[in-house]
Amino acid sequence: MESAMDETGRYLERAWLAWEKLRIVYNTVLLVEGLTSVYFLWQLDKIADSHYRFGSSWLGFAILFGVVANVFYCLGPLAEACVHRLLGRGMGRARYFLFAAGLLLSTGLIFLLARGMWLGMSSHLGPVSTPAPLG
Amino acid sequence: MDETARYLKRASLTWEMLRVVYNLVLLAEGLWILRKVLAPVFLDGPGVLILLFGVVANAFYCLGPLLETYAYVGFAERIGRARYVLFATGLLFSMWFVFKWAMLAASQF
Repeated sequence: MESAMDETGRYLERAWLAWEKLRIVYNTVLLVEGLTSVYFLWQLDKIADSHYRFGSSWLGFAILFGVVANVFYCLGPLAEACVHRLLGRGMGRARYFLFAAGLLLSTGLIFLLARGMWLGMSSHLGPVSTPAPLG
Repeated sequence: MDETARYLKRASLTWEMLRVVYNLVLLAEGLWILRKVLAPVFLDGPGVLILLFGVVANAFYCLGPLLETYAYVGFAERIGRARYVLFATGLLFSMWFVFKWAMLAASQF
């Protein structure tokens, strides 16, 4: 199959292999950040008011987030194919800028979601967390 | 331009034309649902959700051309009419999703 492939085919094959390797990095970073956020939210959940519990609903949301994030990730290789078709040349190092931009956007979104939940829960802390007055 | 580039150009043009159909069908369904089903329950209109749904649906739509390109580059396969089966499957799934979403929203009120 390799010998029958022309220049565009060979270029796209190499580019997509690079994107799929980067996908592992992308998912690992998001997983580490997601699990860290879940850990801290769980700690807060232990002392939160019963109406504002973190509970176990995060799992379904996390899976949905992962699926949608990976679909959006596909825009990277697709953009590379479009650039190659329109400009007739590869993206070069711009691939890594595009990857970094997508990664920053995703990690930022997770951070904002976790922060929003943290603020929502911590504003309704139960009486256990209320510190006793000093003196 | 070599053969792969020519094929991918034709394929992506077809997919972009189909994207217009996809968005028009979903828009028509969304407007119909808003008017007939959700109008009595939504006072302000779920503008942000509709916008978000449109963005995510169009990102999912990109899986079509991407799959065709993968099939051609990775396995030297032209998907032929399977493109339209894939398109119809995605469109039906999106329409079902919009409908279920609307029914769920309507049942909340």
